[in-house]
Amino acid sequence: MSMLHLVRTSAFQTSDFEQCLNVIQISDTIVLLDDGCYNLNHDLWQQALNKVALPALYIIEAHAQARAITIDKDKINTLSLDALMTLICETQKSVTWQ
Amino acid sequence: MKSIAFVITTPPNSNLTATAINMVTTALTMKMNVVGVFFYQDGVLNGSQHLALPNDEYQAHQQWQQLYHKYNLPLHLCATAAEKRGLSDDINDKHATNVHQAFTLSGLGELVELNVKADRLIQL
Amino acid sequence: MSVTEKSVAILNASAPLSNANAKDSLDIALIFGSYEQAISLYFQGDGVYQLIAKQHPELIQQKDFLKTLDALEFYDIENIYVCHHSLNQRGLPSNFSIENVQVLKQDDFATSLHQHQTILRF
Repeated sequence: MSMLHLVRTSAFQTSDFEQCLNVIQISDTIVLLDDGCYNLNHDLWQQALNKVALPALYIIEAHAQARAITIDKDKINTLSLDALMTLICETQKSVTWQ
Repeated sequence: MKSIAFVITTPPNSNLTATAINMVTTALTMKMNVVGVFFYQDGVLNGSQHLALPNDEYQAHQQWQQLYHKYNLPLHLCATAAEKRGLSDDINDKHATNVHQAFTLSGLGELVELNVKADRLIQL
Repeated sequence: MSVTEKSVAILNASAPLSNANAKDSLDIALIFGSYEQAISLYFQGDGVYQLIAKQHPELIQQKDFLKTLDALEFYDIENIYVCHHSLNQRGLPSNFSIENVQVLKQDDFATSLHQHQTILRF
């Protein structure tokens, strides 16, 4: 059963994202929001790319833009809040890392 | 369309709460069935009647109040968490009441109910 | 499984004494247990410190809420899982204040967690 991971903290500050990656499975989806957006430029992001394929990796566009984070389309896809709520409905369950 | 409930643990002065409000608002705008919001830990501070944020800052508590009025959205404050933080809705003593009328003090059992009612329980 | 039989996982990720996450999480576990909801507890990261024996919260003005962990079995909360990787990182033995704790390898911990419909993390 696939799981949606809402990552809201920076791995430069807490181990929330590292713990997320420790329980992630191949059919899961990751969404970076709030300070979780900074994880895009953390070394751990490569693990996310290895464990979950690129189509299941997302960042909330406004949250990234607010933080002047450049979005590299080879590393992540952008998501609006509308699309996030749809994703929440489509995925069986979610866990929030904050 | 799925039904959804939210657990909010962040206080009104955190920007994480703005994200939560945006997500709840988006769900309601998309006509999703939001069965309720349960405020826990510091999240209960969103229900205080006496919050005074500078005019040019984001008014999280007012946003919740508007969602309540516009959509009749049930807003539950965990009673134990609220009392620990000086919030009370004592109906016998109007002067002691400092919870905004949009919010209801509820037991943790309400969280169990929301989880049973909703297809998705989202913690923010 | 019908909606009313949703199973709940609580993922404990905080050390017990400096903030209230552990106690707030335990309160939720006991309520779900008393409403006869299927609930499982998971301990990962600093959350594993919650289960360590011989702690003395009273020395730092804390009520010993960790004793409440003993009550879990009376609420039929019997599925308690600990991440082996987290214990290893902290140099902790599998020696806990309560019985019935299962230590799971990282993959098994992940698989087990994925079996629940609702996950709350504190």
